[in-house]
Amino acid sequence: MENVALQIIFVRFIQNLMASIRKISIYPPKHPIVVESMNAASQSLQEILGSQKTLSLGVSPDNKVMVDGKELTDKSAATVLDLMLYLKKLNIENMAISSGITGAELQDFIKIISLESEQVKKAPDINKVLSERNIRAIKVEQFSYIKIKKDEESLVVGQEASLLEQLKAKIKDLSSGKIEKQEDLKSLEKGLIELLIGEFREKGKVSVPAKNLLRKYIESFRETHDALGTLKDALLAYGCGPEEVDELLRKVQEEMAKGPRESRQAVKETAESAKRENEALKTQLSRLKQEIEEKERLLDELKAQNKKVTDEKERVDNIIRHMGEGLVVVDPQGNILLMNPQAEALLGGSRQDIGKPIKALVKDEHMFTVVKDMAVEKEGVVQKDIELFSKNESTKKIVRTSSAVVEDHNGKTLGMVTVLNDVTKQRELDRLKSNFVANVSHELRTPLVAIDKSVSLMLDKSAGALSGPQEQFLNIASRNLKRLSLLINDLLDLSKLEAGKMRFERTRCPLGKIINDSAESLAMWASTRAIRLQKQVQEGLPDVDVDPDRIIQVLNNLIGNAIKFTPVNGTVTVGAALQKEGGCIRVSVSDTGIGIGKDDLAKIFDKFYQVGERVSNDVGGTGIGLSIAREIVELHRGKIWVESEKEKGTTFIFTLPLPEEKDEKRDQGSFSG
Amino acid sequence: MKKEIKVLLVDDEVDFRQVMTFWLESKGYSVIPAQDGRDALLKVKENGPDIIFLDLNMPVMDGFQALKAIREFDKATPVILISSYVDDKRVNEVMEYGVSGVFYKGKDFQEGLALLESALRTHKKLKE
Repeated sequence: MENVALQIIFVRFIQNLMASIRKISIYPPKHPIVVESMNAASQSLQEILGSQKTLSLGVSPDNKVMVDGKELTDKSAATVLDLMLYLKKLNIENMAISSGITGAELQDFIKIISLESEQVKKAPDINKVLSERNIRAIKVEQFSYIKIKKDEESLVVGQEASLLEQLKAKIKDLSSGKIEKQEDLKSLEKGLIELLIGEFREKGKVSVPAKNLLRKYIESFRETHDALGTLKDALLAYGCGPEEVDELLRKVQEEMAKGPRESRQAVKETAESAKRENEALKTQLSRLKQEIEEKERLLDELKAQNKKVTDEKERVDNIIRHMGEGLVVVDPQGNILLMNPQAEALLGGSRQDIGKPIKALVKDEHMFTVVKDMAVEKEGVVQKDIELFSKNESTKKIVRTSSAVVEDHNGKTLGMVTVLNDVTKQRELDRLKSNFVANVSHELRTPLVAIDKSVSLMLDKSAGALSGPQEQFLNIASRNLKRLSLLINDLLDLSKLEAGKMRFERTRCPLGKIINDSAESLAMWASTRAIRLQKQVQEGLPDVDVDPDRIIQVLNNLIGNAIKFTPVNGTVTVGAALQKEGGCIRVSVSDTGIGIGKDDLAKIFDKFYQVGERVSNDVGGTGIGLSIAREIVELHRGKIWVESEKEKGTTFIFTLPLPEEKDEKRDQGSFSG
Repeated sequence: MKKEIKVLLVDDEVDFRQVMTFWLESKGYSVIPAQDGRDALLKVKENGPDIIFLDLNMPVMDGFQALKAIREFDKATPVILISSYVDDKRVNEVMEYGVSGVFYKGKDFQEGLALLESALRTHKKLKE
């Protein structure tokens, strides 16, 4: 038990001693922390030397700390290992501390082994250094040789032989494969750990040779982390404090990583991490570049868009300014919002009128009342010709206005846009053309009548007998004269209709009678071609308000065409029926003829258009009959169209509106033109 | 006595046909009338005319179709087209089928006769 108590004191002394060594390497020797630690060491030493004359500390050849010739077994104290390393570093095999040692002597000794260890190592005899410093109570015995287990040979290494060199030799041997025993590796590891701890304790860092040695060892025998793990375990096992161990390991790792000859792994890792970093930077750079490019592109796009919008606006402005027609836009209150120069010229206004009511410029109510009208009937365009007088009322212009209501996307009326077209000249030309056609037709009729009469006189033999051929040719002349006068009559009709000069004598009359009259007049002709002419008139049809002569003209034309284009033994049917939808009567003329091709259907109402194929050679038309029919029907506010299928027959249909009492007045007005 | 020259006159307008026939006969030609293209085809095959007057606007088979059909079996007989439209552009489309001239209906018959005579002369030269 006494032994154990003693051992505890020994350990405490060694702990205090090593604490002093550590502290003195960090703080100045006079620093209270150092002094305190030294006093503690001195005190425990005096305690030991109070019960025995000398204290002997030594290192056995197999690296055991020997106290008074006995092995110090308390290995949990890391400081024991520290001490051993210090002793070994200074090549001290054994040291004896005699009683009577002073605090100052101990202090000096501590200074020597911690601060001046390198110097002492180089000195030939440590005892000499100690006596120079008047340290008499400490006697030192140095190693004279170092035993290396290999081959059981005794290698005598001089004073300079250091642990480092021994380890080097060992590693060399091991890596060349001479030693394969686990114990050898263990002892090598142990030596390495001692070396590292020693160096670290002494200098606070790991020297290049030690580092290389460690690297070599790791490369040859172990994985880095594994080795470091082992190192850590070993350090802890030797009794180092966990903080100290971490610190040392960190240093070792650091040193290994940054040394000039770092391990390949470290180089590789560093290179890789540098590469990764580089890549990351590159990626970031290119991303930034892309971002910049994207922003620039967006900017350009915006610029382009802006330019486009500006250009577009300019273009629209230009179009509005330079268009041939006048353009006026008014708001729902009838105030002018926009007016182009053409409109200014036509209406006699100026730029200053913008914002003012349009009433000031146009007397015709249409232009500003249409907004109200159109609120009911929103779709489409209202067209109207208005007469405008110049300011002094000397000249008159006829302006065709096309107005449309402008709405926003919610259907709210924003105003009205009106296009103004000066049709004065066109009207004049139309009038001249109509007059011309009327005059020419009229002038043509006069000589025609003379020729016709002459031929008739010859044919009725009033001017003497005729030979066979003479009569034949006179008949041809007569026939063609009739054709010509028919054509002229048609032309006159058409020009009158187009000029709005056709006078309609409207009366209330039953449609059945009109159809009968027409059919009767053509019955003879139909019978000569063996064509059946039948009627299908609905009973109790209301009377219509029409010009019967004109409707007969239409029917004659349609029935005549039907007879012409129907082969012998065919049928022509004239029908009339009430059509409930639209409140009108529907009149149709169907035949069983050759039908009309699609191409022809579209053009059939055009002037002078004649369908290519006819069934008989006695067909002669002017090509304007259907145009006239359409004009007449439309002026009666009806519609006319055709339905046909090739080889199956054709049906012409027209409608006549039922009379409405209240409309009577207006109708007459518009028809009298 | 010289051999009678046979003229095939194809036109759907009966009055025109009668007058022109009478006139050509008065100039010493023998006239075969035909009322449309189909009739004309039959008569070309039956009578073998020396020259053909062919109206373009006809029912059943018009002048264009008739000309093409005639040229399928008869490449030699001169053809003079008849048109009622002045400067009828459609004529250009069928010139490749061998057309000796175009007679416009509004013109004097004398012009038609001149066309006929020159076409016959050219045809005779080609034959020799």
